[in-house]
Amino acid sequence: VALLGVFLARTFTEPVHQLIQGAETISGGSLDYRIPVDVRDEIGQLAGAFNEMADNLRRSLQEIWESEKKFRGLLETAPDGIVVVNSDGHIVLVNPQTEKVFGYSRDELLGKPVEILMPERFREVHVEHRQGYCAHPITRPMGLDLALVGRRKDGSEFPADISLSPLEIEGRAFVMSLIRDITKRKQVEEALRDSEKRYRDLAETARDIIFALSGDGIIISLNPAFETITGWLRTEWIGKPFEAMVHPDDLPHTMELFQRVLQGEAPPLFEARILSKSGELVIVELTATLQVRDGKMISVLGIARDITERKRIEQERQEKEAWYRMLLEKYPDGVALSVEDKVVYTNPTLCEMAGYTVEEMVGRSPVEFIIQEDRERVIQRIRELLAGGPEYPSQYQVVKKDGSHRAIEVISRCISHDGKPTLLSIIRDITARKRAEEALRERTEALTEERNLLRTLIDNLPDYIFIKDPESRFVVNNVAHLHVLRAITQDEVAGKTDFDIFPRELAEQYYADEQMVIRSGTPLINREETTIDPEGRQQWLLTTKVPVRNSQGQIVGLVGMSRNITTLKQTEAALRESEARYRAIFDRAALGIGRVDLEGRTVESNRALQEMLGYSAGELQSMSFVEFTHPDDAQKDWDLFQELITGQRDHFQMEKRFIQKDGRLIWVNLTSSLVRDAAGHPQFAFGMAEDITARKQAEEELKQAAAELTRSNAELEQFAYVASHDLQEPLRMVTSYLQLLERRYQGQLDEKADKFIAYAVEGAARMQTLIQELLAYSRVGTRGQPFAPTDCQAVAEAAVANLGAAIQESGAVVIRAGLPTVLADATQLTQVFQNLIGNAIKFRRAAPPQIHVGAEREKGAWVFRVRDNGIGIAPEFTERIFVIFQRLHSRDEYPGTGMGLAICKKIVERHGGRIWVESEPGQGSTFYFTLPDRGGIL
Amino acid sequence: MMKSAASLKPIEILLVEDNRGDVDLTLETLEEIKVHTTLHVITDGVEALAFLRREGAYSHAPRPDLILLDLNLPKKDGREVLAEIKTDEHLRRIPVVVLTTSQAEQDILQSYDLHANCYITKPVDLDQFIQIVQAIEEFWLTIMRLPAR
Repeated sequence: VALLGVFLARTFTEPVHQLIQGAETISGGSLDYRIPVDVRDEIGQLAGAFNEMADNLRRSLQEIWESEKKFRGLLETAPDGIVVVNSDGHIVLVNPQTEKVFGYSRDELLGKPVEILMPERFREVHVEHRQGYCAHPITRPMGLDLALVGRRKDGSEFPADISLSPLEIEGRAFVMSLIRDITKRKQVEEALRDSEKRYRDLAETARDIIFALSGDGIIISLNPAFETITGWLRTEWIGKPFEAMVHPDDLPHTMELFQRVLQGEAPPLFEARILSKSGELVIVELTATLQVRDGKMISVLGIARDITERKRIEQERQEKEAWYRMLLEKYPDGVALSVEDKVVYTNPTLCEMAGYTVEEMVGRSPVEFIIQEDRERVIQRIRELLAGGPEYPSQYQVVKKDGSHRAIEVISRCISHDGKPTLLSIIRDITARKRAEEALRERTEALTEERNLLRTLIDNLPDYIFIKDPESRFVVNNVAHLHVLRAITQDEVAGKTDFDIFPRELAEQYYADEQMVIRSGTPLINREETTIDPEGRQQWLLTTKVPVRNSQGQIVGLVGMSRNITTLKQTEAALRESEARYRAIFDRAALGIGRVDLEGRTVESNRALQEMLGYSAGELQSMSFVEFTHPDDAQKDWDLFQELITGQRDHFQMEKRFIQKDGRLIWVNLTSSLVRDAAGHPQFAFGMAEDITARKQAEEELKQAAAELTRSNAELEQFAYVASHDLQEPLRMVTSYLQLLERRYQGQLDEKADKFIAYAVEGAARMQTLIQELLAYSRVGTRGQPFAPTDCQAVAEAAVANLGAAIQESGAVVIRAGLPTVLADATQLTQVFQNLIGNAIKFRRAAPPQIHVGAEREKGAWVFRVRDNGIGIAPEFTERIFVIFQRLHSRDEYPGTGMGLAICKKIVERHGGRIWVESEPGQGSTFYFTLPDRGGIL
Repeated sequence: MMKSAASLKPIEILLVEDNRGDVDLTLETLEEIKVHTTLHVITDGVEALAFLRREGAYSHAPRPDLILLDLNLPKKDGREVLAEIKTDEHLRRIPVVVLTTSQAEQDILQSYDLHANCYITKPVDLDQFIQIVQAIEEFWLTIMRLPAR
């Protein structure tokens, strides 16, 4: 039981406790509190009911609170002024809107009679009305259009719409009035009325169609503009469905919009085509709205504006715009606009030109696209243009995006766009043009150069070159020809003709030739003609004149070339003369002349040769020279001939023997030479033979004579030798023994014997002298020394020294001066001087001898002289004194053998000189001898 | 020594000369100048060589101290004699004086080529001749030292 009691206690007391606790909690305000419910028992059911009750309570309280909140919110936020008045007419409540409408604050109104809110003129009446109302309170709504007026704190009045509602709160009656300032509404209504009238007027006078449609699309009304625009009468269409007027293509859209209007939407303007009476379509732009009055649709009101013209203009404008756009887009030049150094527009051509896209170009400075070197110029140019400078094209180089360069020509104009200075630029790619220009320039230069070259060429030709027009007037003349025309520059002869320069006959001839060439079109080739040079001499010309044709083949002039062949002509003439002369020489020469080919065969022979050989010309023809040459000479002649042909020698000369036709021999002196052609190849040989047979014979005889002479000379030498040796031997015996005899026996014989012995001794002595001198004479030629440079001064000194005794004895004065050095045999020359000086001393007069020795140079030789003041020589003896053994005086007067001068003569002659004497008896003598001055080297 | 020898014994001179005049003239001259000499005179070249080589009749001939040789000799002329003397080793040392009338250059040159010791042209004048002989005697026999015999 206890256990049960515990169980019960626990089962029943716990929920009850909870129940009591929950009721207390809820009553304390915690309405959300709920008792934990265990529905298994009665107490659980009770708790559930309790909870339900708590829920209901909470719900009704909630409703009250929300109503209160709503009401308060309504009061606070109501658009109308709310004023609650008690039964005494005093204000007990106002909302914020009331304060706003009337300009009073809440405190100023609370507790005041409500009449404070109305003009004074209505206040008394209102008190009555209020009392009346209180007796029979009814709810009076707004909008009954009672002309009620409110008064603001500032005294101003306003139309008001006021509703009244009786209130009973906690048994007391109040009146709540809602006050709405209807000033605006009144004004709107007023305006609406005015407007309606205006609209009506407007509708009547509007240029747009104003129409009204019923909900099913029947036309209710139309204004007069309808008639103007469509040509229909309004009566023709009122009462008819509008669809019939709309172009079928526009109908679905129109109907759709109509439905939308009916739905209350405000659709946008739309266009539709309607049919005019004339059948033309009229484009209208229309809008429509649903007209509702008092929540009921009255009509659909619309306006349709005729935009046919506008459309047309718009289309035109669009077309034009398309044209302009196309113009810009397709413009072959680049077009750009730039503002404030920024590109704002480029056309595709420019983009293509620069290799950039529009986006890449716009916004950048135009200068950036120009190569560095041109930038300064561009900047300068832009500055100029912005300053109103002149417009003219400028050329620059642009850098394309790929880095390549293009040449451009830019012409810009400064325009004002949006009030900003804007540069409009047209850019043309002139790269190709530049290249073409460059190519043209190069071509022009090349042509000019070629022309100059050609001009230089023709000016430097010695030939005369000229171009004439069809009237034979000079057009072009080279320098050589200008000279002939007595001119220096082309201008001097421009337009002139030959008639202005040359004698008439010449000019006529030239003119006739040229006219022939021009008329016939046939060139005149190599015409020989004459002209007169500026010095007045006749000149021969070889002239060619060729017609000059233009591209159409018409003859427009002629070109002439003249070569001065005067010299050639003269040479020709001279050559002919020369030829004739040489032919004459050949034919008539005393020399035998033959021409032989390279095999030695005679090709040509002259008469002299034919006569020399005894053959006729025909017989000699083709005969080899070997055939008429003596066999002993043939080999040598042939060898020399071969040397001639092979070029080892130019010519040769030989003495040879010809065999005449009859077999006799003749000696000739043959001179042979070779003739070569221009290239140096041997052509033929000439032989010239001089008959020297006679000379040869003479030579032979001379040779024999010479041999004879040599032999006789040798014999003479031998004789001299024999004389010197063998003749002296017996002479010596005679002399020696005579002397011995004299020595031993003098005085032992008689006087006569002594005298005889003396004669014998003297004779022997003289004979010995003779032999000695003869020997000396013979030895001059055979025992001489070779010539050597010899100082004649020294030689003379030696001679004087040798003559020392004689000079001293005679008191002679020997003056020697100016003696040269010569090539000589010094010993022999000493002999000459000694002999001459010795003679001068020997053949003296009483006075002491004065002897002058000197020399002078004369015509390549030295002339020596030895002058004395001696006895002189008679003219008839001047030759004789030089002959051996010749004496002029007796031995008693002047001793001597007569050999001295002969020896001198022989010595001088051996030296190639000669000796002579100039003298007069009693006047002294001058002996001269010459010695050749050999080469003047000494 | 030579002087003493000379004083004891006469000087032997061989004169080869075909001209009797010249021989006598030489003898006369030598006599005149009183020189103590023995002059042996031979008149042709063959004989002269025989004398020198002591052949035949000359087996006892003395060896001369000096030979005076003429160029123009019968049988064998002086040039040949000179050549043979100068090529004979027993004779070549004997001085040979060529004494001749020839003044010909070629004779002079040839004589010296054949080793003549002296060439003298006989003078025409007697006094000159005496002087020359005297000079020869003095020079060759007194001044010069001759090889021993």
